[in-house]
Amino acid sequence: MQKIIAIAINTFRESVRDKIFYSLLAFAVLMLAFSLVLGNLTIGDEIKIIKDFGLGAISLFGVLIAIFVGISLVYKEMEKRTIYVILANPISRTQFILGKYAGLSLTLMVEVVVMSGGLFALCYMKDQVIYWELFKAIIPIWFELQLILAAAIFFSTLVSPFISGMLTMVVFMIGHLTSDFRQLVVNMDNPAIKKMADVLYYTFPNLESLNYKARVVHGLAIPWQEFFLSLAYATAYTVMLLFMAIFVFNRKDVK
Amino acid sequence: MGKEIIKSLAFYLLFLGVMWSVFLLSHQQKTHPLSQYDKSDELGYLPSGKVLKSLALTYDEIVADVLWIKTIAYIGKSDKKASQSSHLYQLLDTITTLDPFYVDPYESGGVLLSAEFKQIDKSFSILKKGMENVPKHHKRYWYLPFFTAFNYMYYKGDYQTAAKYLEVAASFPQSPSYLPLLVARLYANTDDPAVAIPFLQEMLQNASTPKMKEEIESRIKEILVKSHIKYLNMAMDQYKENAGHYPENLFQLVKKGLITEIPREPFGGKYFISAKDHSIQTTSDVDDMKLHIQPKTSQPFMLQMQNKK
Repeated sequence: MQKIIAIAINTFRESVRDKIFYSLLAFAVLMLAFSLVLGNLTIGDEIKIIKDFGLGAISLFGVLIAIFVGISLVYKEMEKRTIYVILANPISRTQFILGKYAGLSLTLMVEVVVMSGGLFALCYMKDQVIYWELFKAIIPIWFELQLILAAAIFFSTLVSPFISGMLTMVVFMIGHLTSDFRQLVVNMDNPAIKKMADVLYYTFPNLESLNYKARVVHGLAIPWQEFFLSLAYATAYTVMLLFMAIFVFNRKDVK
Repeated sequence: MGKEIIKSLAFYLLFLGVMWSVFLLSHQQKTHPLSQYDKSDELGYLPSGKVLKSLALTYDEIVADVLWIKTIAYIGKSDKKASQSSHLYQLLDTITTLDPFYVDPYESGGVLLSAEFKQIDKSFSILKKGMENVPKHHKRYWYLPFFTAFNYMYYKGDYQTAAKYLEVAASFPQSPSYLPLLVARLYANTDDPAVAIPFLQEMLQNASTPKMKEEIESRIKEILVKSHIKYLNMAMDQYKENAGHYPENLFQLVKKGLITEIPREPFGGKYFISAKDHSIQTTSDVDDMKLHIQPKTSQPFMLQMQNKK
């Protein structure tokens, strides 16, 4: 456990020093500020636009950070040959992967906390109210980011950073498309396409189930059962991806 | 040494020159646009809401927000074009498919479609979509049935349906307290004014202030007068058909068995037959509850406002 924590802290330090992390975070905050301008341009509910953009920015830039920072870490370690130094120590490959994951997870936590703080502050400035219910959307986003991060780590144990970045992006996109896709093909006559929709639906994570943004912003009731089931689903998927990453990495020939 | 200075000086001058030309060119574009092509017309070529909802991934609401702001800017342009009206409905439909709970596009869009572009049926369909999707607890929900009622009343002249929707609007606690009175007025203009009475009695029970109670009570009496007069007029027409002339007073109607008794006038006055035009009237001073609009001929209020300018 201590070894995992040590790797995690090192990974965290390394990734928060990354220029990509800072620039993405800066753009995320910029997007939050931009929502103020847009709010002024609209007819009607300003706070709705601010909430939409705030939650959207947390999700979008979280995904980008998870991908861009997540994919390169294992690869960089091998490229710079520092992995020999690490693995020469009494550290198992499983501990290495878990440590990396924990460190990046911490980095994502920084992003989510900074952005959420900004969003709450903006809402408070506008309405003098703290919208605590926004957490019902932010927590599922956080779980989704964990899943994306695990996918990024899994792919990075397999292929080069560029390809694993693309693949992670594809998982994110298809993950949000599958449920819509399945509904779109319901009325089609072609059974092959229906089958394909089903296959996609069961192989890729259904990330739409973690999307509570619209319901939270419009103040609709969210059943607790649905909420916790979706979180459990995301956790199970994340753990599965980490197992796969460990499995691949244990068999990888590190040269 | 001197050569170096000249070199760097030349570099900076060149750089300044390029910067200056960039500025001039952008200024030129701003004042004399080269292209006559109106980019905002491209809004009409958006993919359908369903497709866009899939493509937007998890950012449906952001896309809806941005499209809504673009729609406002597009519709607000000074040069009104025919294409605007056809695009507006499509845009509103796309936005409300992306974020079905968003009340503003339904509300403002529904009004724009009917008042500005005379597309009453499309306005109905947007407002209906809104009533189906917007959560009922939203503080502006009642505007959707309210504007639907307005459309029915103003453009269709269908007071019965208008009153039904207005009843829905009045049932929301956020709606203004005068709405029930408006409902009664609408019902008074239909074939069967008495329909308003059960509604008003329900409203009377929920009335919060004594003043409101008083107003509703008086409105119930007015409706009663209205339906009594209608009832008496029908009996009188029957009398004329049988006897060939109008009755001189109301007791003749009772005598002939056309009515069982003369209804009690709720304000304490008396019903009588006007000698002038043989119509039933009352001695009390009662609001005739006529709607003072002529939907077919008059211009919608938004155009009237424009004309005033």
